[in-house]
Amino acid sequence: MSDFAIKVRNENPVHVLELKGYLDAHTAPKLEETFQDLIKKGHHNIVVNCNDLSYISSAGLGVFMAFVEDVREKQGDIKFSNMSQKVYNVFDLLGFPLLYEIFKQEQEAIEKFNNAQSK
Amino acid sequence: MKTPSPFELQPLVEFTRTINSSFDLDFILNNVLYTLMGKLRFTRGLIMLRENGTTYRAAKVKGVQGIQENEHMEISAEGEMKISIDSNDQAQFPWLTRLQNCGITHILDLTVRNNLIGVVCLGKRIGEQQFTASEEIFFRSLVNISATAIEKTSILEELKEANRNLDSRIQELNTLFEMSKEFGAVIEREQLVKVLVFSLLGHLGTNRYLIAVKDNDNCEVIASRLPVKEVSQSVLRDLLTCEKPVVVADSAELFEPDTYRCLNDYAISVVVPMTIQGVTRGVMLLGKRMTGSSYSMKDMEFLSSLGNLAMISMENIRLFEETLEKQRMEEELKIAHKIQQGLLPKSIPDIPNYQLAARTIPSRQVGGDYFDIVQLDDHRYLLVIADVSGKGTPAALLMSNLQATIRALAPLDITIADATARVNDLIYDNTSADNFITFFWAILNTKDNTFKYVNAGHNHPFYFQADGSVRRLDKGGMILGVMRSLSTYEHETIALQPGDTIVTFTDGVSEAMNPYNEEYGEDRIALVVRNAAVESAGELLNTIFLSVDEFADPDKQTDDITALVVKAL
Repeated sequence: MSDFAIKVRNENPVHVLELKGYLDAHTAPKLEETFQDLIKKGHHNIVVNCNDLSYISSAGLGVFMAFVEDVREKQGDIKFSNMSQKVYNVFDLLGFPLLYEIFKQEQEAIEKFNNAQSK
Repeated sequence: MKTPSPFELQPLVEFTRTINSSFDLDFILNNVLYTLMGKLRFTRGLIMLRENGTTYRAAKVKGVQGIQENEHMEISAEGEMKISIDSNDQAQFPWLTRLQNCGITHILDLTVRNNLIGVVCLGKRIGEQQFTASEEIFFRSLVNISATAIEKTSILEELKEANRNLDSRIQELNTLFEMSKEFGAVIEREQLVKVLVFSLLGHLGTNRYLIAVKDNDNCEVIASRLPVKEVSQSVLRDLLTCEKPVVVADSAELFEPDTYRCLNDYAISVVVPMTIQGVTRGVMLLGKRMTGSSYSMKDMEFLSSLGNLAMISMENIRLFEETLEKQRMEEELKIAHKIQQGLLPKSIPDIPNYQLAARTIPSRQVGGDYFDIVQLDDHRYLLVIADVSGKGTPAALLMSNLQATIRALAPLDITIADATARVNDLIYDNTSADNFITFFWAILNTKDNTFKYVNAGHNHPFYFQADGSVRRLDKGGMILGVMRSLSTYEHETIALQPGDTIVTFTDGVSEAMNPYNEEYGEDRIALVVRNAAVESAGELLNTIFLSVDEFADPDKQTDDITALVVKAL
């Protein structure tokens, strides 16, 4: 059940989190740790690649809510990409598309950060 | 009515195909107006759709000045309408005035199965004002077809809306289900609170919160993210009187002014009590939602369910921990009991011309009573009775410390008074200051029939002489383990006569409590011993224990009960 894995990839100046499996109440603390670690190291530009994410629950979304303010205060952001329809539906249902930028491809999200930086 | 010519049918067929291919209301309305305006040479078009009752919404406006899209208007009309309007109609339907003022000259109802769902208004026809018969048929047919198509989209919209509501109910249920599953699996409150916070933040899209629970009179914040570090106890206490979930904006009267000010200062939107069987045991505060939407009734119900679920789970964790702690203590007491039993002499030696009897009844908590009988050589016996401070394992360990010290010193050729000082110093050096021992020991010499004792703060034993006199054995000094020995202990040597009896005991005997909270008392010991029509030390010991047992309330036995009796034959 707790089939969830995170891979962190450095795409300077962006860090990409590749989420895999089930992100729910049980696995949310794992994601929390990853965010705490990134923020501690001063990484505030975060792209969450949801390509292999098969399920997300409210508790999973809560982790993003818990950290979004921290990274935005540091002029960073959390952006999403490669979301399946199923995962997007949960985002949509809870109004998350109003709060976060969601891109089709990871590269678009990274470019958005890069453009913002070069300005 | 004349049959429309193929020339007029063709665009109708085309129109039907087009609008039926779409569920997009906007696309359909655009097509209706453009087709009508293009085909019938109108320069203005307006479609009003019925919202409810007589309220209509301007769903699509083209070239009409003075009416905004999405504007609402009251229209009181039923049934089929006249196509073109004139001044007589205005008198009949005042709302027509406004439409006519905006240049509307023609109007037709959108009706599906006798249900008026809207009206199509057109104005400023270029060229001939009067419709030809075929134009009128075209107009009516097209509006009829449109009505069905429009209704179809609204049904679809309703379905979509219903579907979305259903989806969000499912999401709520999923969250509740997931939480109950997760809450059941966690055994630490911190873990539970973390999971609860994540699902609150995720489900409601907020990132300001505070969760507090009541612990007797104390309110404890167990999680929070607020612009302040601390929330005062009085505010928390007030919040914990909340019985129903409330939206802060509508409930100023529910809270103390101070509390209400705090809620506003912290930008809290809702207060949700966490209850167990209707009693508020905790409270959740949540800030405004980042999506900008407000908390609906449905959200409040959801929060209430989630809060109660979390509270019950936290209570279960608390009970579980309590049980665990109790088990741990029971286990510890068992160990203490075992140690204590292990320290007591396995058997009482037979001593020529003397009778010895001793017994201890440990209390449930395992007090620190200890007695010992050590044969020093062929005619000397060391007798010890002591009460170690504390209960349970710490007392048992100190007791074993004491025994080791006594056994180590016993073979040494030193006086009992010097040995007492050594025991005191060793206990003092090896324990913390709050550990102490009341201690009485004696050397019974069967060769010269002497009883040499030192009493270090122990309950004074009774010395019943054969001639009937009684006195207490009180020579000695300070209790053991409180401070280093400043001087040696006093001692006394008694020359025993046949029939003399010495009864030593611990405070568990003298302080045994009856149901009226009266103590057994030392005097009663003396009385029982003197009245006992018995001979042997063993029978005397039995008599004492029986008397205590009759007197005392077993529920109140919090200390060990110990006695040691020596009788000279």
